Amino acid sequence: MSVRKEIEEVIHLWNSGLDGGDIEQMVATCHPDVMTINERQPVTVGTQAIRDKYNPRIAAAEITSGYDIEELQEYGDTVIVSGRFYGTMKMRATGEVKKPEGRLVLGYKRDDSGAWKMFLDMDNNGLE
Amino acid sequence: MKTLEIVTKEVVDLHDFFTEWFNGTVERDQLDPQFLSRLDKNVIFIPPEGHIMTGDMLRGGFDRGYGANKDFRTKIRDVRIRHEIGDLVMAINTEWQMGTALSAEKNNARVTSVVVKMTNPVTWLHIHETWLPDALRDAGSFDF
Repeated sequence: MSVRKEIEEVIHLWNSGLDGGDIEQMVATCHPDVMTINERQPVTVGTQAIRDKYNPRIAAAEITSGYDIEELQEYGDTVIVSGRFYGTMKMRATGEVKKPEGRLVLGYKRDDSGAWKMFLDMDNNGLE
Repeated sequence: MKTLEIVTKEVVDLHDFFTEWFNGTVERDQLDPQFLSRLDKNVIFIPPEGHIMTGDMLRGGFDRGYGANKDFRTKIRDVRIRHEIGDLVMAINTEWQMGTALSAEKNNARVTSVVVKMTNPVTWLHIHETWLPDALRDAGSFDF
């Protein structure tokens, strides 16, 4: 399997975990020291921060999510992908449907078992 | 020098060059030796606005920007090494800008992640910027 296909699969695991409300499936794709840098948000480090960020979203909305890779940089056991995230959030309380989208860069490196683990998640919300 | 010292010096020196470049106070023939030659051929740069830029696009932007902004100032702070993977390093820093011509906010602050290869000199592979929280920016110092 190509590295691109492997990365697409691990991103799909994250997204299907988010869509299905399975936070541990999402966390399982992360490096223990994953760094999250979201636009105009505090920088976080570690998988507990992932739980703290996404559990409230999962509780608040029905989510669909997607990601298209536009650029893939491969350096041995390290990969950086640049692309677009998009999706929908149907708020359980109001029925309002939000459509977040923007630029998202993800960094992955292989762990000792050969699995790709995300060490960087950084975004720009809404392209100007 | 330790990795943090090397990366910090690289980031600071490069941004000092950017200031001189946009101010027009450095010789125009220095773009390649001081900047573009440090970039990997497949480098990606993403500014806070979210566009994906290649090395060729960077060259074009810098060519057009030479001496175009006498008021531009920038300050690098908070350089941290987050991951070391073989000869690759992922680091983050904050960048504070004054007199910016191309951003909506003349005084702004961003957080940057960089992935570099620890060659001599350092090779830049990936640079990504996004805006810092407004409260952090407003609490920061623009006295440089």
